[in-house]
Amino acid sequence: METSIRKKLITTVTFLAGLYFFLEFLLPEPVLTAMALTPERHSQISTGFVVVGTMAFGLGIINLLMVHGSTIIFRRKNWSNSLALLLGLFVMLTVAVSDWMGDMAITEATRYYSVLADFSRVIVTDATAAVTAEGEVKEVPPVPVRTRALLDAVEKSADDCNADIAGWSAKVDTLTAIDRNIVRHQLSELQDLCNELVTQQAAFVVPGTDGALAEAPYAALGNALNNVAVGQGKVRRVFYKYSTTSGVWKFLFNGLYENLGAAMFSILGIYIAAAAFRAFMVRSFESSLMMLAAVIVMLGQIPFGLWLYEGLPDLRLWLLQYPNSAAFRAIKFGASIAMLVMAFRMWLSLESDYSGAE
Amino acid sequence: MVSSLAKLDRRYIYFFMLLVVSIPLLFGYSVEPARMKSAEKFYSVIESLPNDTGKVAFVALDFGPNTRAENEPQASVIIEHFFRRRIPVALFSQYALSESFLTSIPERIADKLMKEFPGEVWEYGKSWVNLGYRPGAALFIQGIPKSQNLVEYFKNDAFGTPLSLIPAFRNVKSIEDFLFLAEFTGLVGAFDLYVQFFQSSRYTPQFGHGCTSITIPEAYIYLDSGQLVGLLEGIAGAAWYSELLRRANVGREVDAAIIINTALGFAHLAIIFLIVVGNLAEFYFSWRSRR
Repeated sequence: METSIRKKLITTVTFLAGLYFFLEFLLPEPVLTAMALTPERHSQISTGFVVVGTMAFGLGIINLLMVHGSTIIFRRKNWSNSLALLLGLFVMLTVAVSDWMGDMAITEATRYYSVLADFSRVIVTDATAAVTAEGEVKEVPPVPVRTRALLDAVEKSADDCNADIAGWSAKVDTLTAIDRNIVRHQLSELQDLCNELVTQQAAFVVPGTDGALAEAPYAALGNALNNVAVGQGKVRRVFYKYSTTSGVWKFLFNGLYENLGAAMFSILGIYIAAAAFRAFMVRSFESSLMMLAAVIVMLGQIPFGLWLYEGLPDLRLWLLQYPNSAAFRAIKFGASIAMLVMAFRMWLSLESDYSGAE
Repeated sequence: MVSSLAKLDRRYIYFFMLLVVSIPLLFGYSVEPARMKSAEKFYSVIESLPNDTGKVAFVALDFGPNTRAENEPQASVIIEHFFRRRIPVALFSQYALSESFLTSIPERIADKLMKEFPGEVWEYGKSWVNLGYRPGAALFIQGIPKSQNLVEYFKNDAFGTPLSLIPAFRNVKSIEDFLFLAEFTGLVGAFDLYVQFFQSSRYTPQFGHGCTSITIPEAYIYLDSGQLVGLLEGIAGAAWYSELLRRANVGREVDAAIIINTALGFAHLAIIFLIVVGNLAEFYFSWRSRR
């Protein structure tokens, strides 16, 4: 594509996207709704922008593979570091995806109860509104047939739930002491919920074809099913913590990555100590004033400052509340105006690097 | 001797700092922290919140491993206070690397409280809900006050469970059902988004913030203007908050916040000592050269 057409396309899209968000923020909601820009539509547009931003992750991974992959293939200098990086990337991706799938499996395992709860609700809505919003007659089996199918499914699900509870009760002693207490409590609750489900199912009176449909029993059965779904999810989640996938994920992320990240940042503190010794010199009135303020603030927030002088925390507070706040407000105003100017320049593609201009 | 000080290999300084920071941590040595009035304000606001309205506290953990040394103890003491008061907590983050903290911190606090109070239970779904990491930053946060059905806006928790099924969150309709907003971050710009956008024309939840030491001067202007009702100033703020919880709850042990704060106190003294020694050496050389 020619440079001038490319530049015009980028400039136009940038301007329109910026204009959209500018107007969406400024205009009142009734005006936006009159323009057919409802909150639901805005949410969908915002999600679209987030998706575009997420593509950067994919581009980043492709870039990494290209750069480091070629270093490994052509055995360039430090190819072993590139190999370590790509191995780390693949291992972490694999474990993270496995952990995510494990979480999804728990949700899937409890979905059956939620689906039955939805079915219970839909039986009532289909019976009370036999015609769809578009005027078509709903072709569904009669209410008694659907209700009997629901009750049969609920009976089976209650049996499955009781079997799950028996299985988990047998494995409770493999957990740690705290988790054992939590799971026992949760299993006791889940048993009560299952019993409630069985009671609801047994007491349910299937309506006749001509009789009036009472909504309350269906709502109660739906609530009981949803409660069992939540209870099942809680217990499954505790047991999932002891799975291999979860253990490996915790080791790699919590054990390795978090601690490495914290260690990297903590090196700054050590560097500051060396800089303090070599470079923090009092050479002028201003630097001595800054040093005095720094010492007061540092001593005022540590326990040992109180041993030197009781009023140090109050002195520190005064410094932060008055001189610091005044100065930082001024800095904040200036920086905000600068950001606003920069935002306008980017919106209007006046930043030369951004628009690709010379 | 003075000239050898000036030429001191920086590795000796690194080793000195390593000893100063690690010895109190290894021995668990703790000293009562300095009083922080901003943390006291935070404490008194949470202590006065009603816990029987069905509303939840919205807690945003926008920090990663790099600032966890300060932000994690802050988040821990605040979540612990909400748990003790039986106020349900909705955990959220706009930063992907905080995902594991959204799970580990409340679980650890719940375990600790269940050991302190045998027979009482704090469990997921009732005491807290994990809304997880949500991409979109400003776009997503702007949408929260505009939504009249937050259960539909967030849809599922971090584990894929529909929020309509979770007792702690299923009655949350709009921003007016958030009793309090607590946000912990060391990221530049993350805190400003909540100040700007986490409010509607009719309602602004009370806002407490936990920041790293380096952003204390910036956060103070919001405390002064009343946009923040409380501020945890780095690890010192978390330590004083922890001390307040200890005084209010017999049997609560000294926790990591107070121990880390003590080690930090030694580190501050060491840095002040190095500054003084460095300046004395400099003064000595300039006096010698004038002679």
